Amino acid sequence: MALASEPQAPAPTPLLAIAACAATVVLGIAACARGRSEAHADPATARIVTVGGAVTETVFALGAGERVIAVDSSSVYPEIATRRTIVGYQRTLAAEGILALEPTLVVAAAEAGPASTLEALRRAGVRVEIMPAADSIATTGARIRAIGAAIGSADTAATLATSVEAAATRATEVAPRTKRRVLFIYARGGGTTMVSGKGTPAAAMLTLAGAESAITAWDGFRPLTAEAVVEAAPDVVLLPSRGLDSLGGIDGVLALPGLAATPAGAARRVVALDDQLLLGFGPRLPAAIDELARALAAP
Amino acid sequence: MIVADDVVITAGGRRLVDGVSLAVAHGEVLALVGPNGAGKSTLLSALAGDRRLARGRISLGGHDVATLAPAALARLRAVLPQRAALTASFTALEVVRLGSDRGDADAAHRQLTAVALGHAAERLYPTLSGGEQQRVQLARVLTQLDERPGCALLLDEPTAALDPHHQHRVLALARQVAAAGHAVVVVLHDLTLALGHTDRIALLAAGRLLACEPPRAITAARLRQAFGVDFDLISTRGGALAAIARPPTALEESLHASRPDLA
Amino acid sequence: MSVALAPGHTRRPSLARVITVLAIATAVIAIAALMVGAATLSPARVLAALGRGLGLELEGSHRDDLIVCTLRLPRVVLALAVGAALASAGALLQGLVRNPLADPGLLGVTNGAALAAVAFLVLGDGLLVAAPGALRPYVLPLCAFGGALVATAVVVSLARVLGRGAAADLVLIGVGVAALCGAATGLLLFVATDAQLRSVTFWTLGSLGGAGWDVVVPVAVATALAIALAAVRASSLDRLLLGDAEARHLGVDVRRLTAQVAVVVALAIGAAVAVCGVIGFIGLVVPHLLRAWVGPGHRALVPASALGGAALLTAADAVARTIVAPAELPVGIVTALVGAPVLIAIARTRSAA
Repeated sequence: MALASEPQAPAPTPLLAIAACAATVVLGIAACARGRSEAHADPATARIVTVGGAVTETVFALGAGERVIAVDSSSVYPEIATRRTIVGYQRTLAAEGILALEPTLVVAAAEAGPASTLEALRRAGVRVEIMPAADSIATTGARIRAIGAAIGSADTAATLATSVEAAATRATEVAPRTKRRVLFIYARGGGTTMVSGKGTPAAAMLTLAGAESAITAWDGFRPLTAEAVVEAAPDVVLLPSRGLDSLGGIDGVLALPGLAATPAGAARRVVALDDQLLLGFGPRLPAAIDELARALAAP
Repeated sequence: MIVADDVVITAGGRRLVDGVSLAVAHGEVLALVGPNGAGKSTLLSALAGDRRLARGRISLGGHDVATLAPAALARLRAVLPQRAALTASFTALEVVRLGSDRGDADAAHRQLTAVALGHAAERLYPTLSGGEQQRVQLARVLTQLDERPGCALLLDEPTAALDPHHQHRVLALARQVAAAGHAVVVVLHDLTLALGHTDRIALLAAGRLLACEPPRAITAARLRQAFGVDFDLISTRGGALAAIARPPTALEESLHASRPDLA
Repeated sequence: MSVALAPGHTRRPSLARVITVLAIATAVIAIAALMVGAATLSPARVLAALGRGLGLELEGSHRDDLIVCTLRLPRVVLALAVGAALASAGALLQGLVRNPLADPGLLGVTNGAALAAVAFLVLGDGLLVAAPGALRPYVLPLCAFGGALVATAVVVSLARVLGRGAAADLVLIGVGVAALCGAATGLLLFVATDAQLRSVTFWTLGSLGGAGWDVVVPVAVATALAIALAAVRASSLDRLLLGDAEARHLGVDVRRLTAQVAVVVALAIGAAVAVCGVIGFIGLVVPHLLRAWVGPGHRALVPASALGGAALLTAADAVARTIVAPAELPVGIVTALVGAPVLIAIARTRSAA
């Protein structure tokens, strides 16, 4: 996590957050142990390709990591996953490339495509399971359970899902209600910069972290304009860390149209979190909520 | 064969051709001469059927050119333009063959030889000199007329890029084409060439036809009227005619400068 | 063959020789393309799978059948068809505007087709709903065709207005048209939903990944039309190279022929773009290289370009699907990597001449 704002005071109630994270980790390790014994004997799930960062994270968290033979380009966590064969960008998968790896199961995020590739894989006899999208605590848990069912670790998944849901709920409850207005910016390749309104995964994370989205007038993403920014008058600007880099650091962000005239611009309050952690809605959700809450609350 | 009847062509309010009437018979070579801007090229392109007439009528072999489709016109007349726009890397022979509907290679070879470029048949057109390219275009145009009786051949300044030897050769070819039964009209800048190689000269100035007479009947007065300059008309020992312009005096220069419309 | 040619002289190969050589080269490349891919299959296994596809009783796995007959074969056939379409359209367009640098991509024709397709994807739901059910799969290709037609009309009319000696201006105009279409496409992407954006990113780099037997047909038909037009109108098209006035003097109905060529070019480009997105440089590189060998005459150049384009795109696609296996490069990147240096080399030889 890159905390790009000015020096902070210690966060309130870190103990509970740490406890929640520790519990998840311990349970995760336990799940790993169980996961190994539970499903490794089943050939149908012996060679897995995971597509989607959160899907990969979850499969590893369920202890099935050694059965994963390949991942997509957005699977950056855990680090060991990045050493697997990479099958490309999740929206433009190549059927022959995946078939060459002789998988028995493909577990894919909702965005995976194109449809013709998934169809070709199915016709080749590979089981392709598409996981539901997640943008809340409940749907995160549901996705973990669905992934567990797909790879034959339903019980482990149930345990993990429950603990993640509990820890995330806890993290939300203890998150300081800063009432700060937060503007989420994301640099969508090709030089276009977008800002988030309501109803996006980013807005959902903000709510979980006890903050408010600076823009509530409309849904989805719209191009960043000076008027929109000034009207939103955010106290903090939030970005995925890759977005921060592509815009040229804090200075680059504050140079965007209209930002200098906002409270966030005046106080140079720019927060960046790892992309996958911030928006993944995976097993690290409790830690994500916690980090985000603390970063947004910092003076 | 070619008849122009009281032709008027206007552009932007000006009369480029102002009431010209003339006729060219089969077997005849007519030269269009005059100063720059006299309307020679405009008249020639009108004879080719390329211009809309404000008044009057042009007919080829009895047909009004305004009523003919491009394919029909192509069977009645061939045009050699002043400048060729061709940059594609055809061979000389390939360019000449474009003149023939059937892509006849033998006819093309014959015409290339007639313009003294038989040896260059396999040379790439863009590698030829300006004069050679001009002769290749002429060969192409001649191929279009090949084995077609009673057509018109229209040439716009065909001698411009050529050295004297080839100038005479081209005009001799024009005479042969006429002798074969076609009507030939050629725009020429060089008065002496016109006097030596044509049956009649049409003298144009400011869009009007000042005279249309055999070379021997052209007077210095008429030339002065057209060009605004005195000419010495000379008969050489060999019997050829030449017109040599006398340089204008200082008085004439200042007069010309103040009254360009008298040019 | 035994007589040395003096410099500046050219002996043209016969049409039969040209077609034979190129057809053999294309066949060899196509077969090689079938042999390679992300999955390693020996030639014997590939041939066995093909045999099974033809109904022969041969040993082998179902997976081989899928890879060879359902994934690779339609893809190779599509690459052949699209490559042929792009190259023959490029050859026709170059003759029409009398400019050997006229690439449908450089001149914005492909971007026009792509813009129309993107506009349909982002804005056109109303069109889709209004169209009768049977016509729905054709609405997108029809939009791409319409966009290509409009762009072709703009480029050709500007070429005629500029006249001869304006080759560089023409390319500039084409770059401008392409940039305009790109800007308009970008604008549409602003208002696109994420789902629409997914469909649209496909267009920007070009990919043969959507290959299937049904999409090959419109592309093949359009290519056949282009080759047929060139064969039937070869001498008139050659005469156009002399200049509009000279062509007219030789009896060519310039306006009508221009319209026919424009429609055929738009059909070929529209079909190719509708299926695969924007793939550049094939329409420029292939006719240009072949012109040095077969000459500018359309009777040989257009069919030769079709074969050359088929071979080149098939080879490029084979590279695209193997070089970063198991992922794939968009094939437009490969053609650009090949085409851009060739374009620079062409520009240098022309300025030196």
